[in-house]
Amino acid sequence: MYDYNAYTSEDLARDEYFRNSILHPDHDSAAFWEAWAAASPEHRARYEKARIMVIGLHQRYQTPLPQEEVQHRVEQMLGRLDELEEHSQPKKPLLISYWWRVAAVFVAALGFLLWSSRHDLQSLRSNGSDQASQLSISRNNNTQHNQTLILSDSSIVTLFPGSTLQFPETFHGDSRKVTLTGDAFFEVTHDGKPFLVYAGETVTRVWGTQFRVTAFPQNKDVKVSVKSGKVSVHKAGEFILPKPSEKHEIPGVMLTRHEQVVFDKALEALEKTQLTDLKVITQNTDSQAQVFVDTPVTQVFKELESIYGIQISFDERVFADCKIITSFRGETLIERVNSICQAIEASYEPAGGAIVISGSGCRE
Amino acid sequence: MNDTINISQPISHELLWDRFRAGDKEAFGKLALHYYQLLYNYGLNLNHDEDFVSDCIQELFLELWERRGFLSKTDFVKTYLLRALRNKIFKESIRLKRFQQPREVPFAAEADISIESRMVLNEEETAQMRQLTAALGTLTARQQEIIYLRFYQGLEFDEISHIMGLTRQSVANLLHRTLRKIKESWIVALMVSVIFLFLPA
Repeated sequence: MYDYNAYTSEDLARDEYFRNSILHPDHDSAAFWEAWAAASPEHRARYEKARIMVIGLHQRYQTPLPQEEVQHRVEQMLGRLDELEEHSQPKKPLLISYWWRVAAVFVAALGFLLWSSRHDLQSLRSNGSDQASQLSISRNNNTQHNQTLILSDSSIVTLFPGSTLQFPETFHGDSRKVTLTGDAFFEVTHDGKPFLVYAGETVTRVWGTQFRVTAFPQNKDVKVSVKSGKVSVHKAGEFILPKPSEKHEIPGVMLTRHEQVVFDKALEALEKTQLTDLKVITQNTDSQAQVFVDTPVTQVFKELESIYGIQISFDERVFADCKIITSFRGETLIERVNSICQAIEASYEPAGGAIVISGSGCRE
Repeated sequence: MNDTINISQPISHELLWDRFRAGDKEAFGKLALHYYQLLYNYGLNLNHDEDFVSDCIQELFLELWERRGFLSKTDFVKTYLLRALRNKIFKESIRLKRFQQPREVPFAAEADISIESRMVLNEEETAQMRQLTAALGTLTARQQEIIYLRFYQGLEFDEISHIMGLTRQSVANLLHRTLRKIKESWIVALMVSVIFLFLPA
């Protein structure tokens, strides 16, 4: 049994029985609490305070939603689930991105670009005729470890050793275009615009999904393997990006979960197969567990840098006093960074393949 | 199979969670039905856009279903879902605003507070309520969120720590400071009124 005598007004305000008795009084509970309050002036004071608190918080935070509406929404959701499973269509993004970025963010990104010019950064002409020429970045992974890049749409690319990815500093126009030489795993965000990977005479078109493209120039084929979602693979020569209004199909091969296509460069043929070796699309990094207990956030960022092979740029002095407690397992890089940033009230943004963290630190 | 199992007996949410992970759509539906109000309430206090919050909840559940094979067993379904929704809402607001401060969303700051209530309050109590409401209004988003999680959702320190990504000590400190802040503007008025109650008529 509870020892209600020892309860402070704050304990009472959190007590289920007390709350119910205040918000939905019935004869028994009302009598119980009336008797409790009558026991002493001290009890009375706690009772009054807790009562006001319960009612006040209820008024402030309640969000009435009829149970029938909840029922309706859940049914709708389950219906959507069936639909998705039957057709496994690429998911339409529920939220449309704004292209607005605050000037400060832009300046920060430019600053970072200048700072990172020690990397092999080069200006390239955009290959889209409908796109204004823009700053393009080329990253070459000449290390023995995987590297992680974050693109301006928050898509994540894991670049395997010996591979190069070209991508614009910011995506413009009606598609998101990148060029791959070598081997990379993509986790593409939903954005409404198709994401196109040009690799060794093939184009892979996706909306938001996870897949791997292997296209080393010395290999005689190009492989595209799908982990989730739906992608289409085309010969580069036959690929024209359809206007959003047009419905016509371009020749190519459709792939869904756990399927692979092999493009034979000599035969110029696309062949679809079932993916038997799932290791190809296993992202070991995300399953890597991290546990932090009162760990300085600067150290947390460094550990993320080393397991993901991504650059995280932040001011060590500003965040020197921030400590966090959290654990990750199965979260993506972005989920990890996001949850850390929330804890220390910082923000982050992609810049030239890296992540820039800004905030005002922790003074507690 | 045991035929004597009483099917009307309520099943624990942790068990439902396990069934859902194994691909049981009915269990998934039950979980969604049970936690929808709770998530909706938390979500709407994090972000006042009803459509946005509803979309986030729907996406959250669809993603959970897609990822069911990768989810782990949990003894804290409620905390898990609250944290997941919080992350989702912050993530999507960041995406919508193209990487602005994730903290821009003020916790319940726009809530339209009406003093009218079905709960019967006398004049004195109504005055106190006004003072409490005013005191809550001066709190920062984080302070409001912690009061909400602690007193409205009735969560323990460990759970709040998990949801907000703060250390347990930070949660305790933040709560302590927040309560002190509320008390400073509110308890004085309350104390006075309680003393009045016991004055001889």
